[in-house]
Amino acid sequence: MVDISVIIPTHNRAAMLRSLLGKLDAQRDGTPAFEVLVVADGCEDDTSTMLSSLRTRVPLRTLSLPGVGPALARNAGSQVASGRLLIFLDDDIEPGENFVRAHVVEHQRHPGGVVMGPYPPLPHIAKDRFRLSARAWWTRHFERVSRPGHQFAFTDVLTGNLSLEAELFHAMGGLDPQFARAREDFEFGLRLIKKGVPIRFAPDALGYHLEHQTATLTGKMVRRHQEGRSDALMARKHPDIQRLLEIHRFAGKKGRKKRLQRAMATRAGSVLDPLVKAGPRLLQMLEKAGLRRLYEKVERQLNGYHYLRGAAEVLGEDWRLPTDPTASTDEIDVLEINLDQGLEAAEAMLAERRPLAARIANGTVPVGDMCHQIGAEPWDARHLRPWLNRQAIHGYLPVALAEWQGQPINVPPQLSDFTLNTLNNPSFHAHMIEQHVQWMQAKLRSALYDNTSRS
Amino acid sequence: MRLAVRDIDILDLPPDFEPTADYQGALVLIRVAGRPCGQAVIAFDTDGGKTPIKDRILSAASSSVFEAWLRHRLALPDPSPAPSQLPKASVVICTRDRTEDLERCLTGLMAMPDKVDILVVDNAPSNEATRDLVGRFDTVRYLREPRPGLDVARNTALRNADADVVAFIDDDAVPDPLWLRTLLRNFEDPLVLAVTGLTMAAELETDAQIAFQHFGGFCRGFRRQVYDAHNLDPFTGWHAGAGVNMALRRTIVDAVGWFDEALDAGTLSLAGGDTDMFRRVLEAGYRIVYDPEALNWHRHRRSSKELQQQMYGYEVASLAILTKALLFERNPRALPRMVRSYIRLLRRLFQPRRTHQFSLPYNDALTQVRGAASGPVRYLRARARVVGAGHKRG
Repeated sequence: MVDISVIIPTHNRAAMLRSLLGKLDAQRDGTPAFEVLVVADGCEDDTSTMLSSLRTRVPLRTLSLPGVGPALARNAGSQVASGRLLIFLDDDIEPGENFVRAHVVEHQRHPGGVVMGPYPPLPHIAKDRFRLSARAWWTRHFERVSRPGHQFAFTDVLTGNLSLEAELFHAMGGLDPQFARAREDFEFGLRLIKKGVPIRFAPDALGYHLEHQTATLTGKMVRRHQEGRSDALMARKHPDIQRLLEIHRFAGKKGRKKRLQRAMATRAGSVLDPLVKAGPRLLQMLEKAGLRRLYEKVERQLNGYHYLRGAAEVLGEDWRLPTDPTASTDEIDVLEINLDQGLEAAEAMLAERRPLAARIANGTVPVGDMCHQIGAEPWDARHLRPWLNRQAIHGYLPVALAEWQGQPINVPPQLSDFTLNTLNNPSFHAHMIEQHVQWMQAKLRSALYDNTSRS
Repeated sequence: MRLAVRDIDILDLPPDFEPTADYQGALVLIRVAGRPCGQAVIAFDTDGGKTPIKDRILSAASSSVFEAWLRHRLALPDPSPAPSQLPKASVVICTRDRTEDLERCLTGLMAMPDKVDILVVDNAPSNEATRDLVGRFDTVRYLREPRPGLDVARNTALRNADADVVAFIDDDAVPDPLWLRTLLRNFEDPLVLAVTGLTMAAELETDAQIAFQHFGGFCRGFRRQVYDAHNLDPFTGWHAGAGVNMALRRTIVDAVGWFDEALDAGTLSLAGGDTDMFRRVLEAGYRIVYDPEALNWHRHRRSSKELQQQMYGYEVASLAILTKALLFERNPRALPRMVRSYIRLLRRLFQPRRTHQFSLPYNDALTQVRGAASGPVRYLRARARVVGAGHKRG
């Protein structure tokens, strides 16, 4: 009887799966015992022969399904898994040698939550626009999530590299099969957050994503279709987060452009589909010609079209989305926190009350509002300092400076408007202008700065 | 005009800040708890010393100082913590007949807490002075590259260094003690092929040096940046840094190729080898980190004539790179960029900017236009020479 199950849904990727299983077999010494459960979902290649001929030290089991999509495959895997801890892993990720252990250690440290690991793209030469933006999305996503003090939202949850206790997974009812091919992770994340399950990030549970072998421009268009479909379903299931979904922009009655877009998506498919099929080829041509702006414009249009076609599949002619009568922000309690007791006291208060929204002040000086974010976890102690440093820097910096300089509180020290405006602005141009302003403001007396001799 | 260059920690101000006789002011590098985080430009003695020096520095400090200070006060973790193991590195100095500067540079490298492999590449020297100097430092390796050209020397260094990372510093620059270590901590992300650092002016003794620093110098800001083709156009790769302060992963050669030997000092193209390398790194989808805490100090050109030559060289190089991309890499995006840069320069020539309150002893717009005009031809001729000699190209 093993305690940990690694569940891998797969579809026609025998070679990749083989190398993945090799990496799992070669986990670092000291890794607790685990089993691997491959859910072969509608595989028509030699996945099954590869699996039956494979010899591994780690116990390996296989489950075959007729092609039901990754969400159902994961659910089915969780049903037959024997471990108390489930680690879900995508078939296009190459796990590092510390992968399983890092998940387990994080669960031992903080039991009862959900742990996500990073799977940034495998480094390789990538020149085309599509590859670059896919890579940028993945790397930035994991950088953002791993920042200390990050407030997790449902859109941060990805099931490619995620672990939780089997008991919790079953109690949540697993993944919703309605979202079989897209957004099943966001939907699951939303339910986790609503239930108050803590989400953690374990940077050591690293795997490299072979997205350059699995993601293509054409595949992305198909995926946009699925995302449109799932977003429409999501808006119906969770009306409270409807505003955060892309589909919200297209719903509602008003706007000629909106109506036209919807009509095209619902009715003009037979005419437009063949044209749109040539989309990826057109994009490649635009890229070759160096027309980057046009490329981006066309890509946006194509993505939007596929998204709406997917949504139309669910919504049909009627694009009214249900609204949530309970989703009124007035009801939310705002916790008032005063910093004059010290930062530690404020942190303790946040940790104890875990509010959805808080108002921070220092004495009588307002510092800022920790606003309620729909679909995000409540505020906690670890959020406070990073929030002060980034979001509330304009409100908090004068307070902190006055305190440092030993002046009575409530007297904001002299910061120039320019300095205030460029706080947290990392751009190169902002730096160049700031530097120029610094030199000019110093009013150096010299022929070099004599602006009367030359206009 | 002369300005003092000061290096202070805002948490621990020196009592004797105010000036000595012939300096009109100071360029101040500001640190918070030892980490470089911003600058201030201060004119001395404008108010008879009534305002305390701390207030004057604070009111002239750049915004990044306040961010770093607040981060320190909130005890937030370092945004780029050092990994448990730094990669092995070699430090390379490409030099040519500048023993006085080189000695300062080597002394600075010796003062670093980390003991590393140091390699001096003597590029087409006119005498034995450099060899003799390096002989006095018994841990420094000496290599002679007879073919002239900074990029030729850089390639020789890459070929002869066996460490994972090769850090380059100019012979007229001096490293801060933690320079190398700070550069190296950024290599944990496998997508990072190059790391650049902050270069401050070592002295501001002449108008030319002050003008260069005011124009931006080698300073690329005080905030750490991670650049890739998604947030930085490869053609503006110079935003990421300069060759005076950069470290490259050795595998950069396999990923994007060697330095272009038809570019940079010692060739007709005059400059741009580093910019071209950064451009290719970004185009290949890899990343460059700019870490301002990796600090070194550069002695800028002292005379106006040298400054003018430098401005001319930068413009030549910028057009040389565009020419290369257009003609030899068939990159269609180079053409509109070329047209735009000519239009921008010509416009500057005929309508001097109002905000441009400088009076250099020569017409800087005209210098740049001349450089831009000769750039393409100079590159083609430099390239023909390289191909003729059978050298490596990037």
